[in-house]
Amino acid sequence: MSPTNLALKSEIWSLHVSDAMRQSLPSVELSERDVQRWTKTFKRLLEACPTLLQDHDNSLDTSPHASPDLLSIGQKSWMDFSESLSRV
Amino acid sequence: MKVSLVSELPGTILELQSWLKKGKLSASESLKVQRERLVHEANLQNGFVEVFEEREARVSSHAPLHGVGLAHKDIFELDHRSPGIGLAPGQSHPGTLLKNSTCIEALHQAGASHFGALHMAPYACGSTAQNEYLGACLNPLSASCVVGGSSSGSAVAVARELCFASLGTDTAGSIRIPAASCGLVGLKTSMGLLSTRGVHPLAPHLDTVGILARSVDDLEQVLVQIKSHEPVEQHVHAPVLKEAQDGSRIHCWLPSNQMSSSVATQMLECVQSQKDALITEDFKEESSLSAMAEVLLYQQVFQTHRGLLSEDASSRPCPKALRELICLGAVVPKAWSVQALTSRGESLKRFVERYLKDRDFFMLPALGVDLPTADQVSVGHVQFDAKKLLSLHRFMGFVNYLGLPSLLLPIGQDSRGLPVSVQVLCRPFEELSLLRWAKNFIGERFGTQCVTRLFTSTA
Repeated sequence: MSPTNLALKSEIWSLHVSDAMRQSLPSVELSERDVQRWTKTFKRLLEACPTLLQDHDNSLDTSPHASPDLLSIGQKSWMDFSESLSRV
Repeated sequence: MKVSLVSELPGTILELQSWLKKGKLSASESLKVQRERLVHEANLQNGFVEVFEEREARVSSHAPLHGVGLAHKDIFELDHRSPGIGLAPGQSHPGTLLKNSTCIEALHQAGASHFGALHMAPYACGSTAQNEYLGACLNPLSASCVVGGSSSGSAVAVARELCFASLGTDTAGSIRIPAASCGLVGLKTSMGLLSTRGVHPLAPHLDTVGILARSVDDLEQVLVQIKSHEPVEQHVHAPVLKEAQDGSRIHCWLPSNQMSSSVATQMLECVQSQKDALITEDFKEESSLSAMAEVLLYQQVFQTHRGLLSEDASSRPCPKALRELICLGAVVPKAWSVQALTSRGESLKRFVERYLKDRDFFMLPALGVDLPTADQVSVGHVQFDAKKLLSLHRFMGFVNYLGLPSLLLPIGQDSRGLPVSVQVLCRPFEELSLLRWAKNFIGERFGTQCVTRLFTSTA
């Protein structure tokens, strides 16, 4: 992701934070510092792993979160591979 | 000759078992000596939140760990006590099980005595012993030095020789960081190898139960006994440990630009002493794997603990560090969580094919820097340095994401005589091969299996 895209994405995301928090944790009061801090975390994660948004550039949706089905799919793919490993 | 002096108790389970076998002392005498020591030294600074009353043994006196005293992180459900999870007495939720968690029950069945509940970071969320509800415990090697977290009491109690070994949990380094700070060996097990039933969760798909001890033999003993005695009906699909095989081919990641020069020098010397070691500075996937680990941590903590931030939970404490993770989980895009979850198996496959295909083990830094002082990594302290705090868990989280076993072991000392450690990874469920190699490595390097004898306590 280019620096321009990253900055733009971070800007959009910081605007989205308050909506996401209202939806998920309505009783939590957000401070400007919270948003700044989390935006920094968001940028750092994107820089470390640019593929995170490659296929999802239009999706900053936070709700609903990963369902139990997805959790078990993730777990199963790990178990399937790890148990199939044979020593070289 | 019978032994009665406290100072004469052996340092490891293996040595104790040899004494018991030779009749140098009996199991009950061994426990009496260990309990006498607790009376004098088991307090919060030394890692103990609570010392348990002696209970009548429920198992045969021939059980393999009879006479061995253990104490565990205060995160395990017990048949007589709900876990305190690092909060002040009465603050944690009373449990509903009133049944030993699977690993604790397995150790009971193996004959081990359970001496008490140990200090931890609140909710297992913290990489140091900093605890706003209980206060901190102290590093036996140097009182000013940090004790890593979150299984901080486990490290201190084992290093103080108040118990032979301790169970902890590791979600993003919580066994390895404390072990590294106190000069111990620590084993984070493969994902799913040890049951987390009855363990208070932080992030269930990253949480793993593991062991801290003073020797690699003792890690192996405790691990094998848990697997041999785990209640089958509760953990039917438990993966099995693969049989130990000889292995010594090491792939070492040595990111010199992310380490202090003293640690890098020691690690280079250590790996060069290993025949046929392959050293690389290039492990380009690490940053994205670490990012995935963070996303999954946020998502899981949010799913597990969001109730702590709801309006009707005002009476339940929520430490700042945990609040931060819950909130990040609430605002992280769903697409990220989905990607982190669904690519986990594929990520493991790529890692194994690239780094463990024709190599037995993957060595990497533990902390990467000399141990900081407690003040330097205490949030809110005038000397607080965020970079030093980050350095404690910088190389930890991606290992949990990949679900790999990781052995933390000391390789030397820094200029202050404090431990310098590394992590060594292997393929899932091959812990016994890793431990076999580590026993040879420690023996050849130090001439003793009891690693705490390498360091001098100044505390």
